Amino acid sequence: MRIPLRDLVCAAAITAALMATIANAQNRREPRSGGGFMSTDLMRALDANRDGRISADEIQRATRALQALDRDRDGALSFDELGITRRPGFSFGRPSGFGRGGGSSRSGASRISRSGLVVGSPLPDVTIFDEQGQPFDLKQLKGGHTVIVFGCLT
Amino acid sequence: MSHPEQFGYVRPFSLKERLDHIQEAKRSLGTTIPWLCDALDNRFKHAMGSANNSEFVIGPDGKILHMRDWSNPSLLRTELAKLAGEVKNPTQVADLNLDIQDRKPAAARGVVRRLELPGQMRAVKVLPQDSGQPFYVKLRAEVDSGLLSSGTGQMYLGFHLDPLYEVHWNNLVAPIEFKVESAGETKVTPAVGKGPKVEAEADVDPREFLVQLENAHPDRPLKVSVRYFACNDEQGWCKAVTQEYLVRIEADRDAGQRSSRGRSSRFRGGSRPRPGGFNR
Repeated sequence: MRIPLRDLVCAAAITAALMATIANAQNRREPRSGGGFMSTDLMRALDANRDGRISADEIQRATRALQALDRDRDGALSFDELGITRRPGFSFGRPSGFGRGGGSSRSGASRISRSGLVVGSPLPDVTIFDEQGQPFDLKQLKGGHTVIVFGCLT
Repeated sequence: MSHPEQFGYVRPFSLKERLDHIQEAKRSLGTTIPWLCDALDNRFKHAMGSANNSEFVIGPDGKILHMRDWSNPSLLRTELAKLAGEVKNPTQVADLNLDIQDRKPAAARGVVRRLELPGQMRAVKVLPQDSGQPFYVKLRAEVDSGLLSSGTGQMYLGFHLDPLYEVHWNNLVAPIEFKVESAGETKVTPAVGKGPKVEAEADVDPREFLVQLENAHPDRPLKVSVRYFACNDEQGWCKAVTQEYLVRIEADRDAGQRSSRGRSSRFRGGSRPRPGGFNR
């Protein structure tokens, strides 16, 4: 099955409402079950600033974002291009459900926690690099509050 | 890189390329926040739990105060307000006017059809061998689950132009050629391959192949050599390049996942590919 791009663009407003619901659920820290509606790939395409919601501006840019998913340039999006895996008997979505929100340190299921890190753990003793490629010792972060967000361009 | 090919980018092979990605991200996001660059072995990511979009608040003593698997800006703002006080006019995401732009390709896209993969595949470790020049083309190797578990199955070899170098294929000369050399009992079919003849003078589409492996083992890496002809119109050069990789049949957890996994429905009415051949 393929979904014409224009239909998906029209659905963007509905999607935004759906996302607000999901975001609220995450803020309440409710346990999430499998079978989410929207694929992470689709959310990543629409949610350009990665803030977990699709803003009015992002809705305006939805056409371009959806066109970027159309890898074979045939003007339509397949489930595969949307990153949606259909499961027999129910809906489609990743086994882990929509998104990867939550996962605070209070959750034993957190991927970070499974790695052994807990609140109070020191930063690891590793040397990485600054933007100019110069070695950066994480100890330099001491002395003030720092926010570290892991991410990449894609 | 969590989603190779998204916005056209592919996995960097060198620290310089990774630093270039940061500059690309800064440019496209229009941000001035400081960025840190993990080492190519992803030591920082691994030490911090290997979650792709995780978020940490670090205290003045260098210890973790808050952490979560997936960044949550509103929750983060609340936490920061408690730590540092409320901000009267906080910057809103809309103020940043973020607009990630697809990098302009060096030549046409959509000229050569993408390969139809037989199902979900997993990236395996690719070790580029120093050739004294940049990897204008980068190999991505993926295998089916059977190959990982039994040593027998299909392997995808995708040769992707790196947009950082603004190069394109030169289709006026002989197409890309690859050769896979195996050791011991490992058998590769076909062990050599050639890209399609393309009518357009230039394009930037990946050149993709499927090969069949038998008795593959992580301890017996495959040597993949490739020869291609690349051009950079901006800099006015075209050159033949020969480069080599070692491919280990071992899942690469840092290789990310392409957005369209198991692109079985990519081409309507398309036939399944034959090993070593293009889906034409």
